[in-house]
Amino acid sequence: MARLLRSLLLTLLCPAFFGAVAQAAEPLSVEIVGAGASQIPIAIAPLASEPLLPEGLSDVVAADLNRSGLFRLIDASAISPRPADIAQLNVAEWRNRGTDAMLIGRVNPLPGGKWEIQVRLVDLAKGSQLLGLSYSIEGRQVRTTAHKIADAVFEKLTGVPGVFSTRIAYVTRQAKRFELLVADADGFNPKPVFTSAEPIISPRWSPDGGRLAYVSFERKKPVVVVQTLNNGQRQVVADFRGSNSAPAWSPDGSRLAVTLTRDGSSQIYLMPATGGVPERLMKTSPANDTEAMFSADGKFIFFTSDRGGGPQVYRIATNGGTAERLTFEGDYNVSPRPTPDGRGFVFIQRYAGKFRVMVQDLVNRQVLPLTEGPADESPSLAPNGQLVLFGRLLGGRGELSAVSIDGRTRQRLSLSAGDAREPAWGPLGQ
Amino acid sequence: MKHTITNILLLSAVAVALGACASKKPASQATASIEDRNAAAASSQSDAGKAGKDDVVARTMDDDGSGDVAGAPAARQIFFDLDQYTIKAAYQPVVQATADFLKSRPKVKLIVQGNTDDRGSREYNLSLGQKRAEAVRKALGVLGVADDRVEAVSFGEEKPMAECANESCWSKNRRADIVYQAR
Repeated sequence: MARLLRSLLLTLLCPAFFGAVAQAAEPLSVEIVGAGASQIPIAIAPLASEPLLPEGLSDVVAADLNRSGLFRLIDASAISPRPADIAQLNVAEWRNRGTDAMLIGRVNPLPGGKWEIQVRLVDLAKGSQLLGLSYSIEGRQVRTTAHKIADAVFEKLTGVPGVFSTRIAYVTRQAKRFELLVADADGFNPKPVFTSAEPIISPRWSPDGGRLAYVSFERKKPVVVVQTLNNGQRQVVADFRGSNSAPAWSPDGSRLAVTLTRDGSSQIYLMPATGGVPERLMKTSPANDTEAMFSADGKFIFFTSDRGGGPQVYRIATNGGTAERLTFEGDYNVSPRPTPDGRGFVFIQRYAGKFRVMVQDLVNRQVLPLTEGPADESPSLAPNGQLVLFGRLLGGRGELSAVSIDGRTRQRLSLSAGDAREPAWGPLGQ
Repeated sequence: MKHTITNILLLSAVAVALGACASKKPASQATASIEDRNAAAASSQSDAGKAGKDDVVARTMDDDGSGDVAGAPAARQIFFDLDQYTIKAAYQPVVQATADFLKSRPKVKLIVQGNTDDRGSREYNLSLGQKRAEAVRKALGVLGVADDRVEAVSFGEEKPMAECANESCWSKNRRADIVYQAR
């Protein structure tokens, strides 16, 4: 459907209506909240001979950068002639339009239905090239290549790796049919991974991006499944007496933390990711512990516990010791996700009856709200730590949303049918 | 201040319409270097061992249904107050009837499924549903039902009886369901 609309869009490339049509074609609609002065102005010119490609490339690069919230797009869609290199670009003119950087390039047809894509990122202040990239691709690789270009531009201009080539997993529900899907980070190319008449929750990517651990209710109770994506092979790794849930991968991919109730209350166990004997993390935990998540360096496990009465966020050294309580504001703090840089964690707080996404700094203990709720849940950090993907309930329907780690940029991933929940952002470098 | 993509692009289109179209050519940088990313682009979708984007294989699981036991008590639900996990006196007869039936049918086993309303974390709700199921399992134990005949599991907020965003539904969803195992 998206592909169909996209080709329709290509035939309707009228600049005045581009915005409206693009919104219908993109599954992701972008809403920028409180855009600050720190945005980098950039122009993404259509490539010379780009209409030769089966689908648009430069508009995908532009949409990626726009969605990050760190760029302000200066429209260059009507540039004529389309500059293929710096010699053909009026640097002064574009600098005068307030643009700091500009992406230009060309498409060259190759034998065998392939294309060569050449792009250059131009520093307009200096009139010099910041980046020059060349790709030889097939028609089906246009979007993938656009995301790679956006990643390279993003990293060059911000110093942080881009996440446009990464994938996300999420769960949809349509009536009594639950589906676990994997899609590109912009919501395109959704592919079903597992379909069930029973609920599916808590998908978690293995660090190498090759497997998903998740909780399935297919055995009339929650069990933890690990599924290999490239062959669909599924293994129920935790089906112990009681409930089995909340899988979390160790950073080396060898172990899973899971929540089991075989001893009565919910407790966190560590076990081999390929199945095996679970070992209880805290032998003397007095209450319910769940939602384990490893820190990026693997040294700590963050978790939710109601040992203090209501649920609060704690962490404990992976090799044992004493649990340290981390949240103190309010009576409901859950779903901790440590940031990739180890500096803090994102979590969900109930505040005045509303559930919202929060971020807490581990160094200075500062706590900031990233969203206002009212029903936000299941946060998942982008692998570069810049965005938080989360689920939100709107009028009984779930949808996916993302917010930048400074809370300034917001985006919505809206799906045509059913409701979406339980997002999980995949790792870099797939 | 809010910008939708539509606004940005429409404003941009206006900017283009107003902008000059002339394109002058600075002489420098025409031969700037270009980095070959062929290998990276070519491998992106065909690297079999690394789960390329075209390699996701779907699996479907059928509903296997669940059995029932003839003659089992009809009352199989116990409802709980908000944030409560103790069985109210009103539901003690349900627990008693269940225990009596189990004693009369030594081969029957059962599963107690704990449930919660849909507010808050799905995983944390799973642990709260477990507390409700566990409360019923322990109550049966007090009445003499052997531990290995009752399994307490949780559905958390995933199996609501009623779906709406107010107490009339939430109160129906804070419950434990008793499911007899036919075998």
